[in-house]
Amino acid sequence: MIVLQAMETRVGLVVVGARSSDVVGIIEEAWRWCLVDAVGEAPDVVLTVGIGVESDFPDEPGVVVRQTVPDLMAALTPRVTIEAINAQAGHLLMLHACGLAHPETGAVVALVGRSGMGKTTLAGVLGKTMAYVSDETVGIRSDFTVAPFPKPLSLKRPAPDMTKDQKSPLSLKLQAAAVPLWLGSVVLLRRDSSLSTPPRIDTVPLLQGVMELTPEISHLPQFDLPLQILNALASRVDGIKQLSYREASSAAPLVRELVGFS
Amino acid sequence: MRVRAVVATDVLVDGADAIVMVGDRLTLVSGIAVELLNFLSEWRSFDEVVSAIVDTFGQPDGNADVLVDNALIELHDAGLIIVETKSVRPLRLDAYFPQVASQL
Repeated sequence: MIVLQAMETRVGLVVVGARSSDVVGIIEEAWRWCLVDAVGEAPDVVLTVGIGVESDFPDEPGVVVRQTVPDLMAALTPRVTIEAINAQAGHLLMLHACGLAHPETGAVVALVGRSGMGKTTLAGVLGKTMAYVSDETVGIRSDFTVAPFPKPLSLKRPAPDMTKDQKSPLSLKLQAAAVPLWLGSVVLLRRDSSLSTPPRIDTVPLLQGVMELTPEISHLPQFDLPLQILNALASRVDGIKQLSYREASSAAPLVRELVGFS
Repeated sequence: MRVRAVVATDVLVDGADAIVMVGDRLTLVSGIAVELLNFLSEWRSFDEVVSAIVDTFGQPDGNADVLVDNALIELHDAGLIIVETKSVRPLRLDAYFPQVASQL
């Protein structure tokens, strides 16, 4: 069995079907930074994955089977993410965000935004000089340390193909986090292709920030007094910020500055 | 007629504004509505609500009842207050408020 550490959740993958040894190798390569020792603590969730047809697995829960490797990989990533998120409901505060860290201090900037706001693109650009934490979900513990989820990056193919390729962070030459991670900054992403001014970061008023942040938080109502948690989070990071930008490359220096790059 | 705030999951106040969370739904309220929700932690009559608002804000252009009326309608629309009437017939929301309150 392959075991992945997805934030605080151990997700076990039992690979079945055609070309299973090839599939194991492809999954291990793409998910290399999430791989943990399969011996020892039992996984929290176990999925059956492989090449085949779903009708071969009637009534089995936790099955991810597709007819091709790219389709399987594209289906596996959101499934692992959802399982990890659901398992941590009420335990981790999970932002729909790309996470990048200062490689020496471990200060994480969470770049929060719905799909299409540029999370993966920013992870790909900034992850070469910052440590890659996730391109999808930043899990925050109650002490504001961060549980990493360095999953494969989900890169869109050119339209009209809706499939996302799953690229190993290693293959994109991203940096792995090697120090403990803690939340340093929370930034709402506002990508605007018509923006004619330079990118900028502003601190938003508390209530506006909370209102805009909450749709991008998984299972928030599972916490007691969730708004007080967000108030503490905003205070911890010296206010919720907003990044208005057009191109990831031009926004990168501003993001790096937030966690202490000079 | 009497009104009461629903029990909120959580409230976050910042200056004159507040976010009220009920279940998984957030509502941003401001000004008089924040005061009203505070006051409506228990059942209150419309006259009590108006008096409380006049005590807090003064008599705004002599229209405290209209101000309260509008704020209560907004809070009701947002699902943040419960309105109870003694009338046994079904009433439209606007019938709860002062224009016809004397008929209830």
